[in-house]
Amino acid sequence: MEYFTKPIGLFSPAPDLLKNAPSLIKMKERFPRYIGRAEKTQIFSRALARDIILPKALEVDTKSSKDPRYVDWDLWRQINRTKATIGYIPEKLGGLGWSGLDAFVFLEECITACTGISAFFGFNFFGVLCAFVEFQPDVCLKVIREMVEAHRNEKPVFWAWSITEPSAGTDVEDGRAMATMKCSAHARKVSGGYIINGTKQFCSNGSLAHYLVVTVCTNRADPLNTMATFLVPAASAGFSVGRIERKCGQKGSHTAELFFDNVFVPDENLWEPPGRGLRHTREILSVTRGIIGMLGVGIARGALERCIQFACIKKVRGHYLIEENWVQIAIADMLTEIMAVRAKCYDFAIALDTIHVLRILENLPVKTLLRVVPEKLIMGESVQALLRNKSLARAVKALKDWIVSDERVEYCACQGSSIKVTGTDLAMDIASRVLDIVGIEGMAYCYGMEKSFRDAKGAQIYEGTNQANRLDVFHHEVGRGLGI
Amino acid sequence: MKEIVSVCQKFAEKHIGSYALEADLNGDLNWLHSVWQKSSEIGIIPLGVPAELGGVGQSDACCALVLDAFAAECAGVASVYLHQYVALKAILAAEDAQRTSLFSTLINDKGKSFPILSVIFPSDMDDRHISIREKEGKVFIQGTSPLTGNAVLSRYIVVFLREERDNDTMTCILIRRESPGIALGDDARLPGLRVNPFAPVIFNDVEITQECIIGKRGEAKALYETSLEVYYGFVAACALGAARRAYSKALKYAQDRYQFGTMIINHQEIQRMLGNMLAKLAVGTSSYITALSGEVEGMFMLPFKGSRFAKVFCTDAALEIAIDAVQVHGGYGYTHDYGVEKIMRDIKVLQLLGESNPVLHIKTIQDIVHATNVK
Repeated sequence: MEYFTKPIGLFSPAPDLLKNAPSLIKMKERFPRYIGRAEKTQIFSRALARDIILPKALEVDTKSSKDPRYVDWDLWRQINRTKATIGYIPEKLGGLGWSGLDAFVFLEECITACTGISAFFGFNFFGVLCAFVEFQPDVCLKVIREMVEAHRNEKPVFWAWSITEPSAGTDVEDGRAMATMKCSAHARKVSGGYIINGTKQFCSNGSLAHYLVVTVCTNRADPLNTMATFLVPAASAGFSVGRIERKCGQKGSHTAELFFDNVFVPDENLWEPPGRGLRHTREILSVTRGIIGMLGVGIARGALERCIQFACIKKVRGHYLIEENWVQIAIADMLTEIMAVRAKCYDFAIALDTIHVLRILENLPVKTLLRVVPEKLIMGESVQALLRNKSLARAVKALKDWIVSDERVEYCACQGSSIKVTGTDLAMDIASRVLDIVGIEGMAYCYGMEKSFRDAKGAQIYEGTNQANRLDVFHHEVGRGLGI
Repeated sequence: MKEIVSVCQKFAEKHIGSYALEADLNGDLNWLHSVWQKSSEIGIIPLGVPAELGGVGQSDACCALVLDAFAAECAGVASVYLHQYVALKAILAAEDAQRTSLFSTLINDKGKSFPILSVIFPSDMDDRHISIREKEGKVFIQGTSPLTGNAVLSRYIVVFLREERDNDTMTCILIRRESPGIALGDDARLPGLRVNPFAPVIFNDVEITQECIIGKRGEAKALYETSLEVYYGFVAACALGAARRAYSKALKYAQDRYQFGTMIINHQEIQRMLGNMLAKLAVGTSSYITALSGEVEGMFMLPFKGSRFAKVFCTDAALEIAIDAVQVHGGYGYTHDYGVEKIMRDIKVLQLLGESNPVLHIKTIQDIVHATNVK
């Protein structure tokens, strides 16, 4: 944007990861490659956010306002050429080999530029995440292969994760609630698979997805004990996309209604059997809630950086707005809050790398496989056939379940919930306070700050409303210890 | 007063509410003009104008309650009337003969309906400045206004000008928007009040005659202050009206929505949120009515009428109410169809009208200190 003249934040020439989270200084001594790579990811991400995403932020917002179905595929191709669309895929297999910390850093910078665009291409990681949570090794490799091919061919392959239903929002994310939820979708067992009927709602990228990971119960009277997880190709007969919501903000990201009309799903696409669907959901949320907290920090930073840039060019009473004492105090206030939440987000990302599903890539047999076996062989049909071996698949799944135990999932879900609440409430608060500083002139569309305000509100709602997230924190930290 | 407010409420429900969401999407100014015309036919526009000048002769508090009722249907539409009422009030402050003459000008320009007026206040936070100067015996104004409501819609503008950039000598004029030298800047595309596009008004050597000047040149400071106080009171009313609708939507939704094993109205946290909203609405309503009625002016160390404080409290409270109302609605609240996110956007714009609230706090104390030093 033309008024971005100062080298701060997104426009800083040097990485500031360690400055923002001083604990990483000590960590760099112990793990220089891990932190060094995160610093490089920050530089890479800032360049992408600054040079590719930021210039398109308002245009995509405007066009999506007029037509919620709008997609800028040229923009996707530009981003794709940087490999950011497959950043989280191991380097050996064609991606950038990001750790969880790299992914958080990347997301933060992109969201600072534009939430909608970042969600549009970034939420596609749901495909790999859902597969890794499910952890059938041959399926994981298949998903990775498709994503890498999509990148190479510049033909997007989109994934979406669909859990919300018209009568069940928070209810699909919590066991106590799921026990009494009113289901709109239902799967019926038939020979060779299942038939799905019903409606899903508010699915990010649902309208663009080639593959959907969908949770559906097999008994409406007992959803908690019959919730299952299915992989549904969008090309399946009977599947269709309904309305794409006209939202307050994050307009560059589609939020779609999905219809299932006697959609047949073969047994091989049953990812979690009836009764295990909630577990799959909780494990994904144990990762994604923290991600949304980082998203909140990105929105807050985006709003504040725009505010500082504006205050450096806006003249009031013969001097610049940034020179007003009350403005300096307000900016400092907001910065201290961002600094605290940001450090917590990086902390959580490192925890995910240490104790969550990505830990599998550090496991010796897996690490050895990736190091020794040529990429073509790993991605080839012979290895996939090998991985379909039931005993081997069971062993690998057991390893994964040992690393990502139920206890660990709930621990990460609680920590993620706490960050999600803090980060998204921070985003809403700062996006509003920033407008108080810049006034009605700074609220004009062209400065992008009112967009931050509109974008922020959505984050307080999805991935479980902040009220539901608070309940999760209470139950994990206090309630279960007291037997409540 | 209650009967008048009730008539206006029914008018708003019938003519504004049903199309407000659509107009928020497409910014339909034709629809706005049709509402304006219909309201003109039943006397809503000159609500605060004395009967002898063709008005209804109602108090500022009554006008505020009508704005409150309008804002419950659409804050954007209410904001048009807000600026109108303030502009008319400034004109009413003129001496009898001039007042009659100015009103005749407006009424003769009535056409299908009473002309829409805009009002420009100078901003301390905007270095753009409208200056007044004399040349060859004529008086001209030059400069750009801050973003102004009703700018695009108006046929006449009331402008408050500082004679010098930093002094208190002020002049108030009424001028036709289509006078030679007046142009509009770009629509700011604010996130709310979408049917009332805000834009700067650009004055390029615009000649003003003696007839344009309300009162005497350089003697409009008191008029400026009272007009601003009324403006703030009306902004408070609009914000609360919009918030009132957000609250009632949230209350209804909570009784219809089932989550966590029961209707969400039965969850204590939702009850707490709704109760908190209602408390703010109750206190806020009292604050702007008391302020505009002038009942406690000068009491309890309150240096001004108190409308600016009502504006601060009511807009802050209204925004909190709207944000929470969206939250109660969950994902549906974030979509356009439910109308709650529109209210949140509208209130955020209202919150910044006049000056933002932090600036208002600072300005208030600076004015008090200045007034004390002058004494």
